[in-house]
Amino acid sequence: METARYGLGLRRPHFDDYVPKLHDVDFLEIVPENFMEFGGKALHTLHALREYYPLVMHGVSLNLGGVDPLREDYLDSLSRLASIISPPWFSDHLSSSSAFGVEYHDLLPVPFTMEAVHHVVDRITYVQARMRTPFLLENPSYYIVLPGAEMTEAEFIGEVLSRADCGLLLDVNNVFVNSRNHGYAAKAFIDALPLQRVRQIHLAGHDDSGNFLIDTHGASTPSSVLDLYAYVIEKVGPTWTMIERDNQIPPLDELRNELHIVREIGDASLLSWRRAA
Amino acid sequence: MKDQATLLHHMLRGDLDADALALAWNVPKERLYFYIEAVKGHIREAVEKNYDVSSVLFPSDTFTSLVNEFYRRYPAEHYELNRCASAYRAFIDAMYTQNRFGISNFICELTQLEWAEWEVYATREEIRQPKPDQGFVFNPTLQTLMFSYPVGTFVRAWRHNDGVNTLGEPQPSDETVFVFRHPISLHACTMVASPRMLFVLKMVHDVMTPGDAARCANISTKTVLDLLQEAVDDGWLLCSDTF
Repeated sequence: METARYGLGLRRPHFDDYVPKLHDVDFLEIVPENFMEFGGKALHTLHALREYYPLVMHGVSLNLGGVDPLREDYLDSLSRLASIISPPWFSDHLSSSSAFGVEYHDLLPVPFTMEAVHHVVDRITYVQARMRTPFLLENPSYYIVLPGAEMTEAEFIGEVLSRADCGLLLDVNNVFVNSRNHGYAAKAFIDALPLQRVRQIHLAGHDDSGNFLIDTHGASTPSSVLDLYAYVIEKVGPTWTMIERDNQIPPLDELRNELHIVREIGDASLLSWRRAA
Repeated sequence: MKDQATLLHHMLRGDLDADALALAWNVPKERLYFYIEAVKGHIREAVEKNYDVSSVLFPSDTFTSLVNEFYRRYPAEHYELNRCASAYRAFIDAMYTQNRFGISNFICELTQLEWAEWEVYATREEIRQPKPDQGFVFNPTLQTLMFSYPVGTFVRAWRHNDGVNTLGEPQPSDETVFVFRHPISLHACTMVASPRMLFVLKMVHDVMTPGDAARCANISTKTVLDLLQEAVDDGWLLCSDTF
């Protein structure tokens, strides 16, 4: 049976803080774009940490939902990085991140249509074969629903996962943010997902703009998201969970304290899952 | 799907009115504005981060206009965000030539140094230990930059002062600056080249022996060896004992 693991995102301010091995950090996630084109400290850090931690890659520029062809230079670089860290899987978002040769460095929505399902599935199939590494698709946060939707978000994700036969990286904060911004019930959304495909979970904080929630990764995980996380674990069972923090990055000890809370919630929820199983 | 991507793209590039698109798509216009500001904001952050000194030398409003112009003229082409700031140097040179935004030649040289620091930080060049018979060799990441303003001195003072600019724009004065990755700490180092450093630079470049260099400069061989060791300690020169 899969063992529950709890990890953190490797960020530049903490490059020197993970050796010797931290007993309470089971794995690290890297954003490949922060390492792919770099030598020096970044590369040195990866070489050092791969001896101590399982490393997974979570990209932001694969552009699965974009209309431009997939970037072969990006995939070449991603492959080189994967050959260094040998990740058990890699992941990216069900989004568009560039178009017409322009990189947005942000995640834009894709329409919930069958045309988009086919488009994304073809790209995942190609990427997964090219990388020879399992791929996980993350449910992104999005702020508008593009017109012409032919299905719900959960149905859209389910169609893509099933046809591409890949795993799901379930971002619980994104579920919470989207449920508030688009007015649906978060737990019902989770129930509608193919949860047997969940291989990893993201937790993070968000900000309230006043009109809508923004997925900033700039605050600790709020209790509302942790409650939803407990609900997910009771349904999913043991999996890999990590905290994403990309803005207002605190000292590592603060993140470790947050991870300790997540671990307690995760392990307690696993008891419910085992009883139910 | 492509039609929607096209409309979003034109909106993000500033060629399509977000209010009109919000109306057509029946979506809250503030959420479209959020995307516009987020995408533009990433470029601004990349410029502020990689040109940390020059960016604060502009009045805030001027810098905002400057970055907006940069965003419009140089669409981001690279998936690594920092690399999208590489074109900013050429953009600043172009704005200087066109006499816009009050950009001086000093600012042009300053952005050159700032980008060189980033290049050295990021380079995939490996620093290998020289073999004993190789003698002294340059650190392969070393960039030697020659300026007509004391750019390195300005940057050092600015950083020593925690980013508070107490200096006015300096008068022209030739200066050579070394930028390199330290072979041990791997940090990017910026040093204003002293006459002693330039002496060592020329000596190693011309493959002179310490004895020959000492005779040419009319100093002792021990002094030359001390200068070489100093350069090795700084990290821009390597020898087989470096590592």
